[in-house]
Amino acid sequence: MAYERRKKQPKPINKIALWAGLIGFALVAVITTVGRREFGLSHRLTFEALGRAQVVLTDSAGFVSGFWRHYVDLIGVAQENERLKLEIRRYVALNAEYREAVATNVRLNQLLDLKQSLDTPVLTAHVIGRDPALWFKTLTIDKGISAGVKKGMPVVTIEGVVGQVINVSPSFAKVLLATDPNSAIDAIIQSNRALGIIKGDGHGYHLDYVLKDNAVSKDDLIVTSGMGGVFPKALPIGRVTEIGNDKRGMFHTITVQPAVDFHELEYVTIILQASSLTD
Amino acid sequence: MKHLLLLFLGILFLALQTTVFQALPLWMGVPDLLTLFILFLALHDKPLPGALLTLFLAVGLETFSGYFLGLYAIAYLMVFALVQWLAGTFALREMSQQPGLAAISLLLVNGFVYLASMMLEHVSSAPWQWGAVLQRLLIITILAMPVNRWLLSLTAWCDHKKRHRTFFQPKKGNRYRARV
Repeated sequence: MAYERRKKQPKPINKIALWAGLIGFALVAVITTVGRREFGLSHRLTFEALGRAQVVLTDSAGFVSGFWRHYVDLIGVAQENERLKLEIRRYVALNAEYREAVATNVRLNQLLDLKQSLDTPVLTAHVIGRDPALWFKTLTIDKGISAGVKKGMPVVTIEGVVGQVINVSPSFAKVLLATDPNSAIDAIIQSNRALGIIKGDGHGYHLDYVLKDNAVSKDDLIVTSGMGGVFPKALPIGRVTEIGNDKRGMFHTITVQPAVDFHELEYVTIILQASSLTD
Repeated sequence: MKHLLLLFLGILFLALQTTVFQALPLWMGVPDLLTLFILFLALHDKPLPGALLTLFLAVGLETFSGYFLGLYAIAYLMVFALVQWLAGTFALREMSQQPGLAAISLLLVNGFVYLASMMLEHVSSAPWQWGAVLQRLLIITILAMPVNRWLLSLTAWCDHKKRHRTFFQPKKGNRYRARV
């Protein structure tokens, strides 16, 4: 009887074999992806799972900072109120002038036929995470395949170009910022229509391949040329801050200050257009 | 239970590093809690569960960071294996060793990821930023001891609970009675 009971007992699973099997499987899964840029199933699943954690933390941080702004920061609000009342009187007078300007602007916009550019559907997404590495500039947004986001779609704000979607999962997407060294955008200097390529340098941009024949000056506005087929035409990219005075070479060395403050990004707009992203 | 807690902590550290800490002013820098956590795993966890957890967190990090897959997984596994091997030979579990170990681990991970991405990129790469690297090294060396101590006490508490089987069990008897 006792012998039979002993016989029926299940064999204990060898813990080491189990762990070794798991880690072996995981290693194979990782090694097969080394150097690739496309998310596989494992990366998509991890992105989905950890994206939720980011949403929770970002929302919690937003709640705490909102609480701080609205309740704790009320000190000195009476003084500010007096100052604001004075400012309002001044702005009421200015407002009348601006109304006239807006009316003119509306008429001009109708003339310029902006209708076509507004036809492209857009989507607003919340920035839920940022790249912690020093060498890459990416961010995570809370919209993915289920919202119609695809790889290669341009991402912008009202201030200008932000970047391009590089990876997507059902609920989240990763955006390569225009300041990343791997980013290149076809651009044009608004004042003289000189073409060039905006490349990220980690913090700002460099405008490359602008021939020295073209006169470039400080504060010139750089906009998208629309030639790459990814970004629509005439989106602001930034302003020229420095022009190198190297006598050698055919091209200018131009440093550009981004129009967008990437550190302060909270919401971005994705332009939902079918586009290709060349790897 | 201990590994579930460690998994939760790892995810929390990773999420903190990619969300809340990124909102800090640039001059404050970003604490690399994940490196500290993996260093802790390498020093105090068993090789196989620790490596699996390291691998999971590294894969998690690379979904948020950069564009080349597999680099963080290899970098963190290398650090994990190296520290485990060294800890078996030298007295690396001492609290005073933690800042140095953390700094070396951070340099190894960043150096490897930088070099590997430079080799994989065909167009251009960001220059090595010594200022930012030194800032992160300073932060990680300051945080190494308190984070290590906190993780140690947490896992010790977890082990104690497991040993006495008091997880999720209602307390019985007179809890105010003096123990002999």
